[in-house]
Amino acid sequence: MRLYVIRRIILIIPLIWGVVTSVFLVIHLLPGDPAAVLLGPFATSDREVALRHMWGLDQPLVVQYLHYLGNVAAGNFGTSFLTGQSAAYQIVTSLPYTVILGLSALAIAVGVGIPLGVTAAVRNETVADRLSLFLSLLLISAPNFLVGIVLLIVFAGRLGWVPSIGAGTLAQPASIVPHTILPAVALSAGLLAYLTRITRTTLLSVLRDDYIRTARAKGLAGASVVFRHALRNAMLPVLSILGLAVGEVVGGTAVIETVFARPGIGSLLVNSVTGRDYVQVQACVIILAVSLVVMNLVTDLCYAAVDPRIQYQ
Amino acid sequence: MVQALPSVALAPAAPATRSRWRAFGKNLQRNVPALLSLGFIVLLVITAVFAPLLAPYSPSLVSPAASFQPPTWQHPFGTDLFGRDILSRVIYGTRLSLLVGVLAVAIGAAGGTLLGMMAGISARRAEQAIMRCIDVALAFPFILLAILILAFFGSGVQNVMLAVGIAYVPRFARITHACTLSLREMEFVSAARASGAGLGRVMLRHILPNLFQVLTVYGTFSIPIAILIEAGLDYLGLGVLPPTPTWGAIINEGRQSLMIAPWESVLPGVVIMLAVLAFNLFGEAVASFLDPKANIGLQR
Repeated sequence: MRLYVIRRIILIIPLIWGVVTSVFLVIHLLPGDPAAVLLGPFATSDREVALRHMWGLDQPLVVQYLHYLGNVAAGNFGTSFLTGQSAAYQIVTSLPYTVILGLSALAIAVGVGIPLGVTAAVRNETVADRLSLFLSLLLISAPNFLVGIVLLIVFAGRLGWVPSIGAGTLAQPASIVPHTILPAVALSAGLLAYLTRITRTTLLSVLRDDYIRTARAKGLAGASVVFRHALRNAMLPVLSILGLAVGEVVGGTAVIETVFARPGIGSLLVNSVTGRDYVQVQACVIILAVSLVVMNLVTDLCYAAVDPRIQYQ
Repeated sequence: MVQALPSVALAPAAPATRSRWRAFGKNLQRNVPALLSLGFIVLLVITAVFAPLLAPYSPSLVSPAASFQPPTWQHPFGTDLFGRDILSRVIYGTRLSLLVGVLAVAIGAAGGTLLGMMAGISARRAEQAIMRCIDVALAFPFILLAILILAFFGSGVQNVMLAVGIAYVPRFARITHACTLSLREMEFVSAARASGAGLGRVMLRHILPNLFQVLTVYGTFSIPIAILIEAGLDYLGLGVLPPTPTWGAIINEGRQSLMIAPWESVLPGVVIMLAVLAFNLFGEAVASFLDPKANIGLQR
């Protein structure tokens, strides 16, 4: 097992290198000239030249690339065109809010979606089952920003239970919770619905297996059969879907953070794209993609740890 | 939004004959939700085609006196800050939102199929090179890849379409690659090679027709996701430029007035939801007809 873990960790290094390189290529093959964009149409050409020199844009692409690789490896993403602060600093200050949002959303999706799916499967063909199928279908089809907007109008606007925008401050942990509830629910909605459906489907098919009949035949209580025998096997496909879904949560932060005007990597990315701040765009995309790669690795390792059939070699 | 890659079940493709269409129609008659969904999709297409005839007002008709009117019979979806009729904007928005969704998937399917087939049929080293690039592209969350490409191209309708399409290329490539790998071991491919067919001919005449089924299923499920991603990009203000109406762009315009004019954001959002729902349900009917054992889609 340890060898397998080490091998998997080594395998993501070329993947991360590929991510970093492709982001560089996309940004540097851009048709626009960042210096011209930043200085506007009335800039003198020698100021442009000076700025291009300052950013190293006048050097050959290969030299720029090697510089960039070295810098990224050292955690230096350059200076934001818009704010003049280091891009890494912006990332570090926004990251906690995105992590809080993402983890809360995952926790809600798993904590509500899987029990709902189990309930639907156990009460197969009842009104509750039908209702959960219908509602989850609606949620899967709803854009996540619509869910966010409706929550915002109802709970922050009409009822005034929670603040509508912002994320609280880390200095006051108590302010984090009310600010995080709505965005976390909005971000989790689609995944929650999908997990409900998958859990229901896989559990239903497992419940038809012979060993379940055996367990029931030997007189085990219904709950024990469902939770100790069936659910364990039904969780494997759910876990693999969760691996895929983490990407949607990571990508969804861009939308949800914008809906709720929260600080975070996602809203930082959107603002940087709008402001043509390529240095910051580059840093945000790299951080989000690399964190997805790492989280996928974690789910794969969990999968291997849970499923005894996986060969480690 | 989560889209699992379908398990690959390859049967020799039956040609899409008239009897096959009829069988699909019969299947559909027993599936009321799918039938309703097809009806709604047809309605959307009609709305898109005949938008100028159906819209009660011009989508850009500004009337300051009618600013922020709640839904009434005169303006069923209400009006926005400039007094523009939201329903008319949604009707015109249907054109672009549907077109972008469908064409983006077409771009992704065309590019991805070509790449996947080439990887599947070429020498090991070329295959490895292509597939490692695909792996890197798949390491990005879907909407992030689209945002990155959009940052590269800049805003605009065509660019949104291209961005979503390109973001779909690696996904289609991975599926067609897997299918091509199993197809190339089949006897009819060896026979074609032995009788002197070149790689291009084998790809187009022998592999491609057999990918039809998988592509139809995955493509049908991709359209609603492409619509969602496009709406998300427009909502973020990264997609089409104002005053062009698309479903997502209308909701983006409503952001500033969310609390005083919630209809401007919510009603177009509900239209998106219904459209995506219809494509999902219809897609599932297509999938279960073409491949009853395939375990993809909505998990019912």
